[in-house]
Amino acid sequence: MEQLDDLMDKLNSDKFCAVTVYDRETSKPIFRNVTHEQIKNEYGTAEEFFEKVFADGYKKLTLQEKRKNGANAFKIEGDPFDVSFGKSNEIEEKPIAKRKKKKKMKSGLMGLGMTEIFDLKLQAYDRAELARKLEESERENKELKAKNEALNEEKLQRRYTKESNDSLNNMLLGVVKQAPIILKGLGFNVPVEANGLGVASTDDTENEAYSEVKKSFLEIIKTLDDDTITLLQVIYQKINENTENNVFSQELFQLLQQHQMLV
Amino acid sequence: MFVESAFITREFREEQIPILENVTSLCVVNKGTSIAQVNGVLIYPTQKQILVVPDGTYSKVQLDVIYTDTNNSKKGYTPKNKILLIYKKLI
Repeated sequence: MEQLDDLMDKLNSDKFCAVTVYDRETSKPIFRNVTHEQIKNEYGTAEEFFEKVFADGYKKLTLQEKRKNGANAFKIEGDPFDVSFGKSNEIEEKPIAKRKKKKKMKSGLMGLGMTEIFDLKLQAYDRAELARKLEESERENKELKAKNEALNEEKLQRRYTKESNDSLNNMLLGVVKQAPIILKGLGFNVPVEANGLGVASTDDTENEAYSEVKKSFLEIIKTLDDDTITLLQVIYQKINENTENNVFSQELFQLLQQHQMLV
Repeated sequence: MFVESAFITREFREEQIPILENVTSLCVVNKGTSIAQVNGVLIYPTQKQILVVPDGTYSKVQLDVIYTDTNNSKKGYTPKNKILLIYKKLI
């Protein structure tokens, strides 16, 4: 309504003002570039001009304000807007009016509103707090990275040590597993299918926990003299020695192979 | 007469808040995790409320805050009572 009133005022007073009227139903122009002069001469006033348009049966219109720019040239002035003529000349211009109002609200305010100021203050406060948090997190991150690196190093070191220990143990286990064959070579009666060697205390022969192999070994021990037992002990200790390079085990292994005591 | 004014931003964790003098406008922001009831106005976590609108006057403001736990039964959860006051006062 306001827009139409404004336009009519302009058409009545401004000699350069003109209007193009489109029919919204057919999207075709009904009047093209009707100037202030034409309206004044032919209709008298802009109000009467629009009354005439309504009387012609056009009810839904789009109006585009124009401005005379030279002898026969016109330039577009502002946005087009819709008007609908009803019984009481009611004008529908809701979407455009809304947009206009918003624009007016924005441009009408001088400076920031209190809410915006509070928001800005809050943002400024948050910024300081976030900056502090970021600094803290970065420091913590750095510390954790350093810690992680140290732990990784430690892990690698442990793995390396474990690997070397494993290889040594495997070697010794291999030798120990061959012990029955070694003993067989020394003239003892040990079952060939034996796959382990246990050190048993002499008093527990009746213990059910001992395997047959162990029991038979204990029986053998009973028949041996102390010197032989000591010798066996020394040999076992030597085999079981935790040195990096167990020369004795290796040489014994070679010797057993040489005498074909190993299967 | 020209009167100088300043914006002040302060954080409070207690229920007792000192009396604020010459306040022209005041906004309360709930920065904690519990519901704050400031002079009868409920403010939920992260929400803000303008309690004194700028209308050209100034006043003495006493704020009473009651914190209500949101009953969050998460493990290791401890409610945080914290409000932020942003206000403008004459100096």
